[in-house]
Amino acid sequence: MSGAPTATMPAPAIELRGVAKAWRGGAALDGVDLLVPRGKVVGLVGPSGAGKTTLMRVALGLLAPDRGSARVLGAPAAAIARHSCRVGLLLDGAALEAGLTVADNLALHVVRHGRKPVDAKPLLQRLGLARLAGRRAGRLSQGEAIRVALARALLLEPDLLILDEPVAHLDPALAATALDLCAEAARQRGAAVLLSSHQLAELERIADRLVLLHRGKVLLEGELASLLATIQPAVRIAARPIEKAQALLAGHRAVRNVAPLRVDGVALLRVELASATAGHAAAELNGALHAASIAVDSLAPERPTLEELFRRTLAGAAP
Amino acid sequence: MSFVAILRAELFRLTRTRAGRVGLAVPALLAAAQIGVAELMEQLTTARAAASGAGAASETPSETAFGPLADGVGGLGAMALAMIALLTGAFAVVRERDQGSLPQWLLARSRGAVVLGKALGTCVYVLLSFAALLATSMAVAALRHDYSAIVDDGYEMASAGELWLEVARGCAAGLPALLCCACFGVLASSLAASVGAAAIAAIVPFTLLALFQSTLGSAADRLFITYAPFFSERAPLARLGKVARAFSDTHWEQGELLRAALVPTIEAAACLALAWLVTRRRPA
Repeated sequence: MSGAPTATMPAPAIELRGVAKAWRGGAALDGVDLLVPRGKVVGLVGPSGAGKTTLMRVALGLLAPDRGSARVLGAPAAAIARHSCRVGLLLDGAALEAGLTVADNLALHVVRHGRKPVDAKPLLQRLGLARLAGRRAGRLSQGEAIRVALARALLLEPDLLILDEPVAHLDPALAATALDLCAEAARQRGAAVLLSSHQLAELERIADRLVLLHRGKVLLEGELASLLATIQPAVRIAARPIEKAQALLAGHRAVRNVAPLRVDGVALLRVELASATAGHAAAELNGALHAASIAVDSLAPERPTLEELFRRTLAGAAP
Repeated sequence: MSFVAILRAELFRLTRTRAGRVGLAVPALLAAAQIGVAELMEQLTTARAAASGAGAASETPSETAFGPLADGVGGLGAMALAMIALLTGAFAVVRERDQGSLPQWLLARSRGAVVLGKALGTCVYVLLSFAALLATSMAVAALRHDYSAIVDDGYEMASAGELWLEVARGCAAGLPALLCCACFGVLASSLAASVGAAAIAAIVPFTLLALFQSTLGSAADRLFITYAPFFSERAPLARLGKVARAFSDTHWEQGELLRAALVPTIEAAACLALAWLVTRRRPA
C-alpha cells in the first residue's frame, strides 16, 4: 500500500484503512486496507462469503465500519451523497424498478441525481439493449436486467464505479463488452473501477490491480502483472512413453513437481519448474528427454493465470 | 434544496408505473361511479314517488350540483385515496430496501433528504390524485345539475358563491389528513423489514383507530385519523356532503376546520422526523 496522498497527487478514489466489520456470525471484514487509484481497474476476488459485498457497502458508506476509516473521492464514505452522480453503482443485483421501462429506469436515475436528460441510446446500443428500451424491467431476463443496471451505473460518466458481479448471467461475448466498457471508463476518463467477479479470465483481461479477499482479510493485493509473475512457471509436455518421461522429469533438478493431466483426450505432463526462468529450464528439460530417447511431441510454457493465482493463494491460506 | 431531486424522482416513479397510474385514477373513478349511482337511485325514488302520486319531491330543497360534488369528494373515492396514500407511503422506503435499490437513492442524496423527498413526493402524488378526484366529481356532478344557489320555498338558503367557499374550506381542511396518511405510511415503511410488514404496520393501526375513534372521547381530537375520510363522520371531507346541501345542523363548528388542518400537519411532521431518525440508524 502506498502512503498518504501528497498535495500534487489526487486522493485515491477509495481508501480503506484497517476496516473491520463484524456480524453476529463472525468477522465479515478484519483489518482491511484497500486503495483504489483513479484511472485503474481493481479486481476484487474471493470465494463466496469472503466479504466482498460488505467491503463495497463500507466503501459506499452504506455500512459503518466497526473499526478503521473509509474515504471515497477524498471525503468520508458516510458523506457519499455529497458526491452524488460521481459514483456509479451495481450492487445487490440489478435493483431496477420492475414497473418502469428500461428507458424510464435510466431516466429515473438521471432525475434522482438532479441532472438534465442524458442520451442513453449509445450506451444501450453498445450493451445490446436498444430494442428493449420500451420494455418493462420486470419482463427482462436476469442478463438483460444486469446490463440495464450496468448502463445505469455508467450513464452519468461517474468518477468511481463500484460493480458487484456486473457480468453475472451474461454470455461470454456480452460479458466481454460489459467489462470493456468498464475498462474504457478507467482508461479514457480516468475513472476508478472496483469490480468483483467470479469470472476470473475476463477479470484478468481488464484488471490493473487485484485484491484477493478471504474470510474478511486481504490475502493478496497489488499490480496484477506483478502478482501473476510470482506464480511458479510451468510447462506442458506431450511425450512418449509418458510414464518414462514422468519418472525422468520427477527426478530432474530443474523440476519442482510433475503431474499428469489430460487435455482434449491427450495425455500431458504438467511440469512446475523450480526456477523462474521458464525458457532456459524448458530447453534443459527438452534436452534431457531427448537424451533419454523419449519422443517429445510438444513442449509449451504455461501462461500464469488469475485462476491459478486464485487457486494457489487460497490453497495456501489458513482453513 | 437537496430533497427536490428525490421528490421529482419519486413523482416520476409513481406517475410512470402502471400501478401508480391506477392509484391516481381509482379515487376519481370511484367518485364518478358513486355520483352516478346516487343519481340513478334519486331518479328511481322520484319516479316511484311520482307513480304513487306523492308530492314529496317538491317539498325538499332543489338539488344543486354541490351535493353530488361533495358526495364524490368525500365518499368512496376519498376513502380509497386515504388507503392509497397510506400504502404508497408504506411502500416508499421499504420496497427500495427489499429490491436492493435503496443504495441508488442514498448515493444520490443524504438519508434525511431521501426520506423527506420520498414523503413529499408521495404527498404531491396524493394531491394529484385528489385533484383528479375533485375535477371528476365536479364534471360528473354538473352533468345533471347546475352549480347554483340552494333555494327552499323561494328562499335562498345559500348562494353559489357561499357553497363554493364551503367546498373549498372543506377540501382545504380535509387535505392535511390525507397527506398525514402518506407520512404515517412512510414512518411504517422506515420501521418495517419488508413490504408486507410495512403494509400491515400501516393499515392495521390505521383501520382499528378509524373504526374505534368514536370511542376514544376527546383523545380522538388529537388523532389525524379522526380527520381522515375513512369511516370517520368528523372528517371535513365526509361532512362536506351535508354542508354543501346547507342542512341546518351541519355548519362547521368553532375551530373545527383549524383543528382538522393543524392536528394532521403536526402529526405528519412528527412521522417524518421519526422516519428520518429510523432511516439514519438503519443499514441500507
